[in-house]
Amino acid sequence: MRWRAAILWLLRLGLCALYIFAAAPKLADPWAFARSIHNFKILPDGIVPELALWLPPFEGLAALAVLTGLFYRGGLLAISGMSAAFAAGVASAMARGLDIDCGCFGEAAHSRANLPHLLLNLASLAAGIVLLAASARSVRRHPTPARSPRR
Amino acid sequence: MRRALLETIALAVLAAAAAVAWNAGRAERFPTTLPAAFFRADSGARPILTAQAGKLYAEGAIFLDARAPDEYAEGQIEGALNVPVEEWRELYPELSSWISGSKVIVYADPDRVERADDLARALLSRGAPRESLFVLIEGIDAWRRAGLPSAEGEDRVLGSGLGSDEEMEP
Repeated sequence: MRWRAAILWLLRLGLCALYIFAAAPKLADPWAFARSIHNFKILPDGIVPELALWLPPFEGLAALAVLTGLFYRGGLLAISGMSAAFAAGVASAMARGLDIDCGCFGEAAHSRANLPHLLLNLASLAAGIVLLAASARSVRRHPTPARSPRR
Repeated sequence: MRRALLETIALAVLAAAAAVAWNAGRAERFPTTLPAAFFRADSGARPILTAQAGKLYAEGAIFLDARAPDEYAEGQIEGALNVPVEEWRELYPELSSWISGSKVIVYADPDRVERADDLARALLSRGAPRESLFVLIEGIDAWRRAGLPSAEGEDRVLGSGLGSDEEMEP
């Protein structure tokens, strides 16, 4: 089962690297990120500034939670949720024919809301779900004393 | 699953606290409400609010007024050069010597920020560095309301021999 553990670790490290890499440039330039959010034309402009401020630390903290194991499953759930939301946003932009910078990795990366980014988000969603499922299985196999059924 | 959800909520709350702390520590605080003009200015130049523009003004930044000459004459940011966006190509040879190496802030009326943004786009297309080119998204009205230096008249209109007079130095 070593290969399985190795794959899970690779997924875990990959997800963390992806989300930290995504969060850092957005933290540095909320103006550019606010414009990227606006460009999707999904959310009302009134909540764009708050979202531009809040989402990058949320991405970073979720990645750190998964990396350190503190709030591990919460971090995975957050990353899975964000990946699903980002995938939906990119798919929506593609369906509406919007040729926009998705802002996924900051403005300087010039990443477009296109099929590769949709697939990247779907892949990170899949990785999050796999890790969550593996974690749930692990909890069932090795329940903590507090969770052990009474005999 | 319930525990995971609670942990996610805790992370979300922590992220909100981190966002507030991070923003408070920034040299240029990001506003939690953005003027509507921000969403209409998409040239790629950096948006700037009045307070920060006032600081750059004090540091000697060059201000470009993208409005028509008659609007400029009625009142402008003190020391601003008038570069009507429709005439930027003719004025660019003279303008380039003024803005080279300086921080440049372009402005117009707040409800027509597109004029300033179009001028910024033109300057970017001529190689102006993005990191030193700003669009004053609140426009001249907020500048006046803030009591920052304003002037009237037409003495800094490009194409009228500006630059030959030492008093015109920014």
